[in-house]
Amino acid sequence: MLSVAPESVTPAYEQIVTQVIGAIREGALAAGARLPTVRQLAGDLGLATNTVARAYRELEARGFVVTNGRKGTVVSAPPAEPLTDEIDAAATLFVKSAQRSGLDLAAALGVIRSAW
Amino acid sequence: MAVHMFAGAVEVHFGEVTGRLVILLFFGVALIGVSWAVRDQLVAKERRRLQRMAALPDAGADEALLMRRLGQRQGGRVIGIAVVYLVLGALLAWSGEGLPWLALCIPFGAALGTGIGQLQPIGAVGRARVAQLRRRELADYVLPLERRLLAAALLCPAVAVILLVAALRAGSPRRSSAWIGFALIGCVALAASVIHAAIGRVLDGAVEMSSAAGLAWEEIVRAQTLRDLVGSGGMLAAAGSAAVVWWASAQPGWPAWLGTAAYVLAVGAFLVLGVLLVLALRDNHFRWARAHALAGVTT
Repeated sequence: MLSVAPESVTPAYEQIVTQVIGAIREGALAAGARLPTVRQLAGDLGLATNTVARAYRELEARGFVVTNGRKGTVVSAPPAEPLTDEIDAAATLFVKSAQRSGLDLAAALGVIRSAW
Repeated sequence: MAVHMFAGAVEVHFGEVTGRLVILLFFGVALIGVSWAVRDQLVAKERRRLQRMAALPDAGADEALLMRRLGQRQGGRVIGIAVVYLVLGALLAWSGEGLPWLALCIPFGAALGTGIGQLQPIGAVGRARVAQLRRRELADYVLPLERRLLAAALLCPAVAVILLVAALRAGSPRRSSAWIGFALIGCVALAASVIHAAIGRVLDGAVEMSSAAGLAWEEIVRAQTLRDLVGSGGMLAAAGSAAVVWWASAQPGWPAWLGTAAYVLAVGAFLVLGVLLVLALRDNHFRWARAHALAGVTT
């Protein structure tokens, strides 16, 4: 269930965004699940449709949902987790070594594939 | 209307059209007035019927809101019937034919009015602002076959247009009858699109009750409204299209095969109606809606 606390200092649209993301991460909303229409959610939560539409736009911008015509707003495949600092540093190191050795991108990716 | 006065006595002769209008108005006002006067009893009766059919508990803390919701529906129903009866009845009385159309259109007015009434806010004060994270869909409330039949019925106006165009090319009807036929089909298509839109709006309609029993009531009341909209909309689209083609086939100049096509369309429409009726009767305990729409709603 989604709930909105009108007395909270957090804006209502942010409360929706946080809870939907939580539901997606916990697996309560699987990829492909259809979210309620903006009008349905606004009516049930007693909010303006613009508020819910803003929450959906925010979710879409962050890659958690996609909106497409007849299907409405559906949960997208979970966005890739951000790289950790360790992997980021290792990747930078690898790219520099590869460039020093004169490898192009395709050859460098080949090295990674063979090592995978 | 002619008025003759003889020594203080007034003798009034109504024309045929005026006479029909007066009769229509008399019965209409009487019927609508009685329905409006006893609407509280009708609301209580509907509540008992839904509770018995769906085996629902009392709405508890939401009882007052439930009665208000049912009252809004009942008010909308009476207004819907009144509007259709008076507007369409006046047109038909004026034209002097086609009164059976009333039988088709009154259920449409009743279902549409009920749906519009259901969409009115019931003014729940300080309600919990909670919502389910699932999209309400028609598939949750009515049987799959009902949805397919509705989709088929909504295609009937298009089929009727194709038939009329083909017949227009094959025959040599009067231009006026062709225009009337297309205008009538346009009206049927408009009514079908209104039903389609109403179904979407009823699905999106707000849940204002918050107790577990109240939430279950909201869903069952919605299921009843949607079933009425599907049934009356399907009936109007299918039988209305058949009736227009039938009417056209009886006019001079249209090819003979149009009568056969009208007959086939009418039989199809009656089959659709029959199956819808049987399905609604077989699922009269909302088994489907309880298994789907109430899934996830704590009762």
